[in-house]
Amino acid sequence: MKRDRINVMLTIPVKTLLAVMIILIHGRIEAQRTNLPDLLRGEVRGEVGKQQQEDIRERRVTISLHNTTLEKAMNEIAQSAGLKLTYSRTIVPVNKKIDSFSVKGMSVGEALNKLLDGTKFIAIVRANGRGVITEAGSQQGNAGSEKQKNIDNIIKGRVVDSASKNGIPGVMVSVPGTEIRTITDKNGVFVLSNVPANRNHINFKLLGYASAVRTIENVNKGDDLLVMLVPAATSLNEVVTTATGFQRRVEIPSDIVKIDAEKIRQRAPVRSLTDMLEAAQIPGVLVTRASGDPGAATRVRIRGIGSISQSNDPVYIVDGMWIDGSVQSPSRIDLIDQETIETIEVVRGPSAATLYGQDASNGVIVITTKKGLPGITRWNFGYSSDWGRAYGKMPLVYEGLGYNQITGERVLCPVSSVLAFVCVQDSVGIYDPNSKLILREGQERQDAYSLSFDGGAKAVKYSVAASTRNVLGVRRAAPIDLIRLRKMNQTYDKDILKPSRQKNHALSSNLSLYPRDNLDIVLTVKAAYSDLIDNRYKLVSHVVANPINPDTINFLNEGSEFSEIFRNMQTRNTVFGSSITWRHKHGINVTGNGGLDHTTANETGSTRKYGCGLICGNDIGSQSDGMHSTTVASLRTNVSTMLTRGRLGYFIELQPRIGFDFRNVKRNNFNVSRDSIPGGEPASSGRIGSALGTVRETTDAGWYLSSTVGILRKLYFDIGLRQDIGSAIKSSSNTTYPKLGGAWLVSDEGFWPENNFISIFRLRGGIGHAAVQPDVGDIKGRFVTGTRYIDGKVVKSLELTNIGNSELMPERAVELEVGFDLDVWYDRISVIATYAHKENKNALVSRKLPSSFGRGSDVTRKENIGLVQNRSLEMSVNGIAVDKSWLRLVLDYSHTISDNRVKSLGPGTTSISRSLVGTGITDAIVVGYPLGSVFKRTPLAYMDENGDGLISISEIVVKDGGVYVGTSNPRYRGSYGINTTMWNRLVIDSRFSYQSDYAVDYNSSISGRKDYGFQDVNAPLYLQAQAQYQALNVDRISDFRWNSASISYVLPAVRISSFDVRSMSISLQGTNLGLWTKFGGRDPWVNTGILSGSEVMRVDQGSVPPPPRKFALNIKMGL
Amino acid sequence: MKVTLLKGSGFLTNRLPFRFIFGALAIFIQACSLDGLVTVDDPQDGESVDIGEVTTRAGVLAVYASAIGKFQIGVNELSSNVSLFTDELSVRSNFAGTTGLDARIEKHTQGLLSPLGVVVASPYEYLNSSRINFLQIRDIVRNLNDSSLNYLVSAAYALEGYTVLLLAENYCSGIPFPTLTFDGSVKYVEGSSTTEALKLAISLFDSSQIIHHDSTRFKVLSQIGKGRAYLSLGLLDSAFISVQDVNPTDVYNLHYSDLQVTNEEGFVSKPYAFWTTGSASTLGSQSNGVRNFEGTNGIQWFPLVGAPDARVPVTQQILDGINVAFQQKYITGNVVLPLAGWIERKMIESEYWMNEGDPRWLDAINEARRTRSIQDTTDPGSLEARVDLLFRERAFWFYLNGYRLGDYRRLVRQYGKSPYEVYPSGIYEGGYGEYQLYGDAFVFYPPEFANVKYQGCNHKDP
Repeated sequence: MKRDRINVMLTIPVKTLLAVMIILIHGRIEAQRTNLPDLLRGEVRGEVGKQQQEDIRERRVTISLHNTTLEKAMNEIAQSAGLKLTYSRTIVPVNKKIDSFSVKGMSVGEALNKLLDGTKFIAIVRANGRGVITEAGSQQGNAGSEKQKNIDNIIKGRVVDSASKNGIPGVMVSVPGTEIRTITDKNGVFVLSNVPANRNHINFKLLGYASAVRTIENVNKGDDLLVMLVPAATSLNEVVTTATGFQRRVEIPSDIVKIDAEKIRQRAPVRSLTDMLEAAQIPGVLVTRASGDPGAATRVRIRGIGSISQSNDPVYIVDGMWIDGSVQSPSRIDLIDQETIETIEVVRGPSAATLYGQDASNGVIVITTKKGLPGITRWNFGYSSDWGRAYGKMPLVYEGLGYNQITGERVLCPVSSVLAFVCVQDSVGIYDPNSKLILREGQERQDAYSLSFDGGAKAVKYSVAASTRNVLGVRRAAPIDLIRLRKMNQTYDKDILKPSRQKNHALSSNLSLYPRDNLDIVLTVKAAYSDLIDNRYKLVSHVVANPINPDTINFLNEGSEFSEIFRNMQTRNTVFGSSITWRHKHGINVTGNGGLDHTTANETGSTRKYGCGLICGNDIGSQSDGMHSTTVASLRTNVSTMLTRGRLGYFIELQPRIGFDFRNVKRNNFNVSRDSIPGGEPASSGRIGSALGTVRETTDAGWYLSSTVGILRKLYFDIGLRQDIGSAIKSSSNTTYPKLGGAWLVSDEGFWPENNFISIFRLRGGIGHAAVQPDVGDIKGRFVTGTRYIDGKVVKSLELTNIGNSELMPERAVELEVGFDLDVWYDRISVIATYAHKENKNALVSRKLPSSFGRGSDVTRKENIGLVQNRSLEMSVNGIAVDKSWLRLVLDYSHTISDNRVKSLGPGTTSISRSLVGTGITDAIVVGYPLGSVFKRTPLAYMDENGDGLISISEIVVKDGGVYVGTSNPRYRGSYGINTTMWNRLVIDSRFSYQSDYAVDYNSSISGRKDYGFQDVNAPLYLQAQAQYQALNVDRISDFRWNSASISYVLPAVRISSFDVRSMSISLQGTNLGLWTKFGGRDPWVNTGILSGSEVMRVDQGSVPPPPRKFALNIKMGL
Repeated sequence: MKVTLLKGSGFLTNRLPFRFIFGALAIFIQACSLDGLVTVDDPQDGESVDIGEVTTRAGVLAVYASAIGKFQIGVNELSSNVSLFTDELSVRSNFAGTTGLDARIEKHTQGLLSPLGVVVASPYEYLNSSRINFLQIRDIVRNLNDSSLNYLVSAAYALEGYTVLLLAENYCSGIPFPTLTFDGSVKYVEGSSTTEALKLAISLFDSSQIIHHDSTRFKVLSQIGKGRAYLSLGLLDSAFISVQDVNPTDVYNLHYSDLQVTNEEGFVSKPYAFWTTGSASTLGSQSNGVRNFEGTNGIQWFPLVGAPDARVPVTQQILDGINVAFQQKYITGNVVLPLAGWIERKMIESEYWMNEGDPRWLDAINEARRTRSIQDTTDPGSLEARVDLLFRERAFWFYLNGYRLGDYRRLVRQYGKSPYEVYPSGIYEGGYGEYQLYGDAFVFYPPEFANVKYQGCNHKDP
């Protein structure tokens, strides 16, 4: 046997590969029936990270016996499971007659105990393949090492899951009012002894299940109990991923949200990770996107904006590897094939974020992909098709119209032309962009196909998934523009007027190897390709309204300018990852994750102008070509153990962990732009405007030491310390980040009233530090090459663009979080509430140094001078309203109140203005106000000085300071969900959300103004003044949205099994189904400022389509 | 080492879990000194360079080119602003900032900074930007330890001296001159009075002179600069001494061009001189004109009939029924702006002798005039008339070169004239009628903000 084992070990790679090939080819053949080596045979394995060693107790037994003895039956069961059974023939009634006994698919322990029902003996089966039949009561306590002293008042039995009927280990069984308690073993078996005769209530309690109370009629009879626990809504028992491995939520003082990706896919037509995060409606998590077009950049903010100048993006970890999560278009995180995602965990709060190192101050999103299940190869096919359309009304647009003084032709007549005596205004043109003749948006369409297979056996498990998706955007060129172009005899590339589209192809594979019982190896290879074509058209000066009849179109300005914006971006992403977990028999776990995430993107963009005639001259466009690549190499290791075990382990659990991680991020950007491209000429004819390449490389490393200390399994402390170094950090800066947290399961205390109305009450709190580091480029001053004309000739120059600051330190976030978890109403309602208070100290402020340091861009530099405060209150309530066998109705609700405030910008600075003058809108960072705020400047006084009846800009005096309107981060956010499951097959789900108190700046690429009064001689002067100053383009708004609705049906197995189909489901889903808002335009929930890094909400009501309303049909089939 | 440690550590180390614990501790200890594991790679590529990477001769010369380029633009823009602010030019546009500058108006409009603050910001920043570069050049050369580059240090001192001098001459009393070391350390300072600034300039010129020059042009630059600074301080004897070595052929020119170059923002531009006066040769594109007796006190730059002075060439044209004169001194991109030279020596000598009562003051003026074949002038008799004559000569010689405001201020400060006798005053005739009267701004003031040590101008008097 030993020799075999060695032999097997030596041949693992070859045999494993062979096994994979065989399984792939003969996927339908059960692994156990092949000639595969022993290592490839075996039972179902758990997931990676959970205990993977073979456990004989879980071997299933199917047996049917008649007219036999107890001994024969015991041996038959043991033999069939490969169990070596030990018992005393003198004590055990071996000759007891058994008339009939049968079990099907039951674990060996359960089968033996079922056989021993009615006796005072129980079977204890150990993982090493040995079992013992012993008298009940000898197992009192957890260790079961004490001798039974009094078997007369014994209570024994099993606790099983109400659904699976499997034994539940770890259930606390106690006698109220006494110190008598025990915990069920691996099979759910418990034995209580010395139960006082006057006590006849037994409590059963375990996180994740509704507590139960049983009444014992006569204790002294040593009743055998079968107790079924019903799974409860609480998720405290859930295992979540932390930086240091897997932990139960109950042990973690932070609120970590875990999303089951499949549940999200069931209820909403998700295409991407962004869609999933959006559909999940997680408290404190805000998802925005640049537009409703495919491939639009997306942005995730967790608990608000903490950094003034640095990225506020969370850290993304996929299967233990860092990936690049920077905001780009196409969205980088959306290159992950969403079909391969199994769970998403959103790690907020101090104690968790601390352990993820630099940049984790903004939260961490941990993604775990599917690794497959062992067994025969399962094939899954998925097809999804959806259709959508943008909707919403655009505001009316106003323009002055008149006659050219000289030519008499009808022209646009802005006030400046009136003042210059170019035209005489006689009317105001008003047109409705919603008119289908003027602006029509096409129908969005997506088709997605997915194919995956997985399977394996004891020593190898595999999962391969491929998907392809083709999305056509909403936007399509308006017929009016085509007519206009033809009328102007302009040639144009017809492709350019097609809707934006994105083609995505993805291939993901995971290979999990288990060469030894205590060693898991997971190899990951992912590849994704995206081809994004982004088409926009932009009418620069285009008003075509007929002042007499707005429904008809006059080509008043046929020569006006029309721009086409075209961008093609081909992105390739490759991820290689490996994860190794080694478990020592004494409980030491060593985990290592290595990853390489490489993305390259080739970009071509062009802008071509039409109809600008003499204004354009020969210069009708520009073109830019870019090559961008990002490589993230990461290594993460940690060692953890449980120092206490046995009975002591019940009282004190000490789980120390130590870890080290390393990350190298290299970003390479190169751009060449050409302008002055002549009409009809290729782009190469243009002049090179600029050519600039940059390489940014950042390397970080850090180590941490942490420990969970559990006391009596109801009080947990989490203590940790992290230290980082990095190439973007001043070596002497303090980069040590401590954390301290605690969680107390109050409801498990003896003083907690014995009632089931409030079954779980946990208090938790913690404080911890995290950081966001500066950019490498911010440390040192920087020159770019240029040319100067010196002493009569052009010479090469080095121009100072950045002064740099070698004293920079990371921003330091200190976050305090307190909250509670509550399960009430017989575990049907679960409440999670969290209050977080976070201060970003040493906030990096990009400050323009005084003019005496130089000019413009020469004088900006970052300093650690700011202080930003974020506070949030997050609450989620999940309740089971109806719980019948045929109907289950679940309601959930979540709510977030967030507050953000700039507390300081350093000495002498109270505000940093980004837009000082001209527009009437000031995007500024002001002490006392939130980041992402918008301010509008209002007219103070106005006078029609020249008496022409029109108020022009020069006739208005506006207030010096801006008036605060609001911030981009809604102060209140809530979501509601209703989920109905009927006969376990039909699921109907609907989701709603609201957001309030957020401000948008809705400038429009459609020229003209949306304000009544604009250039209207008949309008009151104050309205003209407001309209001139665009003061109305900033608004504080709220919205209520019907996010999604779905109906899905899982076909019964009996109906489809005859077609050799394992599972099949059909669902019809809709998203973005309704919007109720006082906002004057279309859907305000797009933010064009994402790519520019602006935290201010900017809505372009012209060329940027809002998120479409979509309907999708999904068909999934498993073979 | 680890095994030995474990074996000798008693019963705990004989158990495998504890070996791992000690192993983990070893990692922990090692992790405490992780610096060696991290490679600090400076970003580098062909297009952008870290400050610390400028470690070559070519690199420092490229930084120098940038500094000179910005200095050129700063001088050009400052001169343009001075021309408008004084009587050298008068606006023909309705651009609020330019009009306000021409009218010497300091006014808040639309919540903006005052026109003076906005308009004079650009040259102030360009000059300071080059000043910072000059500081860096000195640091870089020092780090290179290459004595053959000392001439750059000399040039940097001289040109930095000029930035300080120009700011002192034209901006209010109270100008901050913060420093930036090569490693990026910023040092804020309080504002320097006009006197302090001029003394700083003199010390910089002195520093330039004691270091090796590559040619006489930097010698003359520092000598004339020093003389000019002493002149502003009213120390005429020192000014006189400073310029004695300047020969008739000595000159430091700033070169401008219509060639395309890339400026510091990466945009292609042409380093034209005097953009505010129109960069093209066509008269219609020139935005500002030359006006005789602007604001009553202004000089008569050109005769209505007859040939104009060779030093202030103009062309007259009837536009919109008005006789408009356009300057012809700088009308193409390829111009040379003399920053320092022998003419200025003569003007300094003249002023010194005039105040000494020495008749050679008139000789100096005529000596200069003869270089352009201009007829000798005669002594007007009174001291006041002599002063007027001297300053008129200076005005013609240094037309559009950015001297006029400094001269205005000296006339007030050193010769006791009222500002209202010197600056354009009374009814404002330029622009499109937005301003009715000339304002009372006598100097430019720094568009300075967010300077923790700067409290604004000490005063805005001449």
